Amino acid sequence: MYLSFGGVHAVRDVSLTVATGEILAIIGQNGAGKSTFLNMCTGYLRPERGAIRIAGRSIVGLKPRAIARLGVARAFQHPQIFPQRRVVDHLRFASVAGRPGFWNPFQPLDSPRSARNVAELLAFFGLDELAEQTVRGIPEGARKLLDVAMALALVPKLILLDEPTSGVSSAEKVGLMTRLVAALRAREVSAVFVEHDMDVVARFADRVAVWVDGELFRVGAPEAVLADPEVKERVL
Amino acid sequence: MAAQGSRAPIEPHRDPSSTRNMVAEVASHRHPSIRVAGKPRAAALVMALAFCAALPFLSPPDTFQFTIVLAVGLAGLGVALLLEAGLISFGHALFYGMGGYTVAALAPIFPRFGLLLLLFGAGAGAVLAVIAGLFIVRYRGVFFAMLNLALSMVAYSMLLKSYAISGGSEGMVVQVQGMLGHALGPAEFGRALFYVCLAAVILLGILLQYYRRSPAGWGLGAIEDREIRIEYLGVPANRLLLQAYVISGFLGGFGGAVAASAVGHVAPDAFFWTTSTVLVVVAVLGGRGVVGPFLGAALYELLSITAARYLSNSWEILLGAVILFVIRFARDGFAGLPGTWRATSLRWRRQ
Amino acid sequence: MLDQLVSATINGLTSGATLFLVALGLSLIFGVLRVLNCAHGSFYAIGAFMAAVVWALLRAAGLPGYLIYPGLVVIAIAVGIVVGPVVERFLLHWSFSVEPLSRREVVQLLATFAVFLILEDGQKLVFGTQPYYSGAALGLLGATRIAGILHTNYQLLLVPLAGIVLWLLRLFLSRTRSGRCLVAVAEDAEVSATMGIRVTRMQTLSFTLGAALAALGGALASPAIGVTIGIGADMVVLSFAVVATAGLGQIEGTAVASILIGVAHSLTVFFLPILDTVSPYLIMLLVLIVRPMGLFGMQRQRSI
Repeated sequence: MYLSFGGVHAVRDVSLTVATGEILAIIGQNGAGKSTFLNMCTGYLRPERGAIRIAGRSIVGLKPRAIARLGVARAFQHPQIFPQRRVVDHLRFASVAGRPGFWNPFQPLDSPRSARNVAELLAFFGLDELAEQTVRGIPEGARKLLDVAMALALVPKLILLDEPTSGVSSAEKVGLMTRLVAALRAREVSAVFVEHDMDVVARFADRVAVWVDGELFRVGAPEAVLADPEVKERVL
Repeated sequence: MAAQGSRAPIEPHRDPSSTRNMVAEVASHRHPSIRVAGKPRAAALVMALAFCAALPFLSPPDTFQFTIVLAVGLAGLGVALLLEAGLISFGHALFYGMGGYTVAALAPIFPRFGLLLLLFGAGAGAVLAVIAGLFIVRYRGVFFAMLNLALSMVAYSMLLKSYAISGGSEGMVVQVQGMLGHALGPAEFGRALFYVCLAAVILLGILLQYYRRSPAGWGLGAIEDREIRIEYLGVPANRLLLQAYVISGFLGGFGGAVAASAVGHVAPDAFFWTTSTVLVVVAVLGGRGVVGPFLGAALYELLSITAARYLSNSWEILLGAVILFVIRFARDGFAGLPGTWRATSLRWRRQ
Repeated sequence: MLDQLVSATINGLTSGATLFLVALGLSLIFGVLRVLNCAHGSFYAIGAFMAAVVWALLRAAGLPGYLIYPGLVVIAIAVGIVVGPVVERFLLHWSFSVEPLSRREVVQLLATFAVFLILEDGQKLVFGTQPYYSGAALGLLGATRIAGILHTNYQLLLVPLAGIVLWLLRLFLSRTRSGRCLVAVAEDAEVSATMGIRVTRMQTLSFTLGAALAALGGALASPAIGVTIGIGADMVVLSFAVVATAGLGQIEGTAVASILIGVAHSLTVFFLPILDTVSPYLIMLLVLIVRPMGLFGMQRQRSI
């Protein structure tokens, strides 16, 4: 696929396939086009050329909500959550509101149909204790987890994570990622995540894609790619 | 993350127990209206409703006034609903007027079916809201506000021109003289209208509270906060807004229909922007929640009666000053004043 | 038929000229402050009232009538300087920092709306509820016959006058230091602040300028209309229609949209009177259906 902003190539001729259940990390310097890539995959930006497919179906030109309904969920670098609302209601809303059916959105938020999904996610991410709190008052790490949990509440096939560990203290990073990856594996969700911390990448990714100037520079197993001297020079 | 700025910043690596305490402290001062009413609140609500139901006996000549408060409160509730999504409509007179004129047009056919006429009025408001909403829910902020205003102005001037149908600037006489097929005298009808309206308020209030706790209603606040996130959760924000808009049109139509039946006359003024003003004031004055607009409507009527007695020409100055005061110092309206005071005093004590 | 067409077009251009001045002020205020000023019509009305009062005073004092023409400009500037900063500083300024951001727009709309209510009743207290007529001021410059119909030179001059104002504003924005700062704040207030521009001063300046433009529109229009309570409310909706059609914050676009709406309105008065009052809104609605940001407006891409 291809996209440029006023003559600047943001993403150029990238081709990438993610297998079911695979966890792929994207690394690269700021401005290399990583976030642009994610934004194209979720319909926020439209590639000028090329194709994006999920399970064989093209999603180019679809709106973010249509793509979300096809099973591509997204979490954000800065948690996109609703400051005045309770943690548990976020997950309830995410699990039921997007389902089809005219009357569906009018069933109570705390109906049993979402209870299992919500309880599972709260437990996975260790948010049980904060469940009844408003989001305004919870720690940054928990906000990040909630943002991801909301994306997972959609029961997606693929989840795109933009810097899941940014803004989280280094002590919390490993714990957060361990929880996250365990949740992904348990639900067999494929994931693509953008990350700057190479320890995290080495530890949790199945495969690593290296981005340089809008192009895909290397793809491969973390050990091999991270040890590559050229990658070291251009990215690290 | 501007929203958390005013609160005490919470570092992620702080001792968890202290964090939890702070969280609990913050949480206990949240606005409780979303939660299921606790026992004291429920008791207060029941007592307030009983008091309302007794009003026509406590002060029979004012029954008309009480009915108008309920009518304006219902329509204001519609405006308040959209406010939850961060949208303000300066043109809800469109639905208020539509409800009134529908009753006026159909009253000669069903003169003794007052309740049916109210439902027709509300339905007409809802239908109009579907048509207008399909276009208008695509806009936000100033566009939403002003497009609503423009639509109501269009309706107003079209009404003035179509003299043959609407009676032009003279308006129409509304002859409703009964309920459920029974003929009623003026006083009896006035009282019956009040109770029908009160019952409708209770029923609609319960339904609305149910709606606000469903994903569709919850999503309105989420749209105000971060609309884009809603879309990423696979939820069409515009559809949620259209649903809210239709509900609010229904409420507006209902209010207008009640007012027309009570007054016995409709005039194009019902469509004019000044009527929209009243509805906005009522919604903002009372605050969020289902009870707020009715409180707002009562306050508004009280203010306007007092003002008519003492300052007939500068009444809108007072109104403007009250709006400025409320949006600046009492963000959640009068219904939210206790919470606002608690939050403010808490902030002062911390400093 | 053709005569009527020409005459309607000329009428449309002259009414479009005053409409342009008012809408330009609205657009300027929106551009810099990101506030849709609901009280804008009140500035227009105050300008019109002041002009009518000054005209009546001139006649009563036995002074020559043509003094009203420079008087109109002085009135507009005076109204802008007196009312603009007072309203901006004391009634609206607090709302520029309302948090969260998602609520700010509603709060600001309500605040300007409250100001509108206050000013509307203030007019009643100061000027009374009787309409003012100063139509005699129209005739002083003579009249010209175009396509068989007499037009006063005063109204014909409004169009080039509006053009001059547009040119002056452009000059001010591109050549003077304050003007450039104003443009910078309109582009990005935060970055401007870090570059040492005093943003609050620019906000007051833009509000004053906007109010003066609205008052100028009102003062110039006052001889041609009956000045009465309520013209402000009509005007604010009309000028919003212009600004929305043009795209918020677009200066030249506002000129095009004012002409479009002025002429369309005038044509419907002549040829399709049933639609005369609604034609501006119909144009706005049609434009917004096709281009949600207006004819010349551009969508801002949000970063996430």
